[in-house]
Amino acid sequence: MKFGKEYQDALIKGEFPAQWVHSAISYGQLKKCIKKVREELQEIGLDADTLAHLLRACSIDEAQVAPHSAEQSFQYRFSPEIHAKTTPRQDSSEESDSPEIFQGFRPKLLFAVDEESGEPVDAYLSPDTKEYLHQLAVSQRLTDIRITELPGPSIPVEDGHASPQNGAEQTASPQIRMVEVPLSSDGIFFKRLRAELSGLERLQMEEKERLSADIRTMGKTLSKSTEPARTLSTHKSDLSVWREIFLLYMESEIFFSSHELDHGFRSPKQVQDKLESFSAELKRRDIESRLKRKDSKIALNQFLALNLDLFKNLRFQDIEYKAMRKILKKFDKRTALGISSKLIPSISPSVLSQGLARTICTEVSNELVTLVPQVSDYLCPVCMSLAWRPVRLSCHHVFCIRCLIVMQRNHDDHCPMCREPVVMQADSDNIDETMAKFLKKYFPEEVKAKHEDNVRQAGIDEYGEEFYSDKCAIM
Amino acid sequence: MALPKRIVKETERLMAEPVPGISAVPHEDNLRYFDVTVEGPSQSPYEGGIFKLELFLPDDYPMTPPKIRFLTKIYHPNIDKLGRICLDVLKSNWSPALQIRTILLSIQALLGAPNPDDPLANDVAQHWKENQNAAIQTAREWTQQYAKPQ
Ligand SMILES: [Zn+2]
Ligand SMILES: [Zn+2]
Repeated sequence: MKFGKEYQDALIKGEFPAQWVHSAISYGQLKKCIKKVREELQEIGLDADTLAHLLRACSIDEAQVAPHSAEQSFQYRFSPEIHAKTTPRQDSSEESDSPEIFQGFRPKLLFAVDEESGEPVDAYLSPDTKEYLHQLAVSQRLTDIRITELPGPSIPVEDGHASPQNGAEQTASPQIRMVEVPLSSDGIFFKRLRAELSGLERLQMEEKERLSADIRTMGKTLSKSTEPARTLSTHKSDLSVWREIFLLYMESEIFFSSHELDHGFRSPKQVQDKLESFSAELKRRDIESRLKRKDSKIALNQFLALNLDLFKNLRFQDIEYKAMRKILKKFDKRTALGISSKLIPSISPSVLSQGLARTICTEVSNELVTLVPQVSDYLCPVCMSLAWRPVRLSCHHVFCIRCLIVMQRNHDDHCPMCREPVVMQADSDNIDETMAKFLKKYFPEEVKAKHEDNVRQAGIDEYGEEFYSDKCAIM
Repeated sequence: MALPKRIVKETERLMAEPVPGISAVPHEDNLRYFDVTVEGPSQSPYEGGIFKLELFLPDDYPMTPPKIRFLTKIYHPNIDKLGRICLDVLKSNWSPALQIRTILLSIQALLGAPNPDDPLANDVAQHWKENQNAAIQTAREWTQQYAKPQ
């Protein structure tokens, strides 16, 4: 199947909102633009085969010759030069960049001609094409005073404001200068591509706003339904169920993996699998019916919808990114002007990236997940269970009272975390009451379990293991 | 006696997120006893070798350090004929906040950086100090001879 058809099918089957499909890259239109470029080049004898031949010829010399040197018989470049932007990997929270990639840039096709005679340096060209380039050189030379006044070796001068008529440029070699072949259809192609990419970027900003608003709405609902219970009779709290949901969500690593091997990116297929197994696990654990509050159930559905929405965005971006790559590759295949290697790296990170997914995932963890404290952040580093009751040593490290008692009994004076000799001096004043209050409020079940365990361990210390063994527990 | 929560948690994590180049598997009939393998670090004389160790968590672990011994013969200035290891964090510098995984990483690091000035195996350390190249060569040969996976 041809890519154009495949692309249309993907857009239809994707069940995307009409506005998205409207903003999608119009592959067919761009393909038509490419056809025009090809025809324009063919007219002057510069078909893809000829250009490809010249390209091969110059890449052989390239080992000795600096890029953009006059020894290359032709160059296709952008004015001003496009620089690949660094991937915005870590700064996901920042606003995405404005579509500046194509701003004020103009493609230029430059050919090397002999400075004196104006003859093209490359012998491979057909007589007509040579004559055409010669004519160009002569006419451009007449209007370009700069060249005639400043002969001699110097670094290439870029003049972004030059109009096509006087685009002749000085180069490193005194015998050779570059003459610009005036093309119009390539400019149209890039203008169109630029407009399409800006449209996509605008869409992405709007989506970000929309999803952020959804997150804020859900946050409000959630903070009510996870508020710790004050008294058991008047107020129901779904705190512990939400803790389970978020723990499972973080462990699922739906949109990004924590392995940095592939920058953590997941393909849409992987995201889909992860999302499916996440919701299957929620069902298996019967989460929805375990939520007691009505607003909790609403928030859960909002949360699932949010993730599906983000996934849809990801799928759309993926399709668009593929289309963009394909059209640039096609441009190269039809013209041999060699642009895709220059443009793809500079476009992909800023416009069609997983930036949206990063931003939204960061917001989810900052605005939603933090509403529900996780027990893993409040563990005693020695026994790895909840630090109850919490004892804060003078070095500020926190342990459970049970482990502190054992350390003191062993006369281990060094803090397990920093080795400061502060263990023996600790007493009941070191109990962190603020933290104790917090733990009791947010982890009532864990506090109860740990308390019972502490009592049991103290009993074993006093009366021996048998006292608390299973047999005796029946009594 | 029931297995303390800490040992259960450490074991679960060792299974779920193993340390690259290191494995530690508890015996079914004694969950405090682990079969350990450590890969020799690259660019060390132990490169390419897979070393077997035994690890035992005493009753008062983590207040006292795990007991660890090499089972595979190894030529190293800080490991003696019986496989005992001279490593500060296993003795005086032990802290109950250290874990099985951190200790095994320290042992792997010790293979990458032998320290003949703090010896346990005296004759090996002597050899290391007098003729380092020859000692490294011997360590390589022992790795080939004793630590190659079947
Ligand atoms: Zn503790
Ligand atoms: Zn400390």
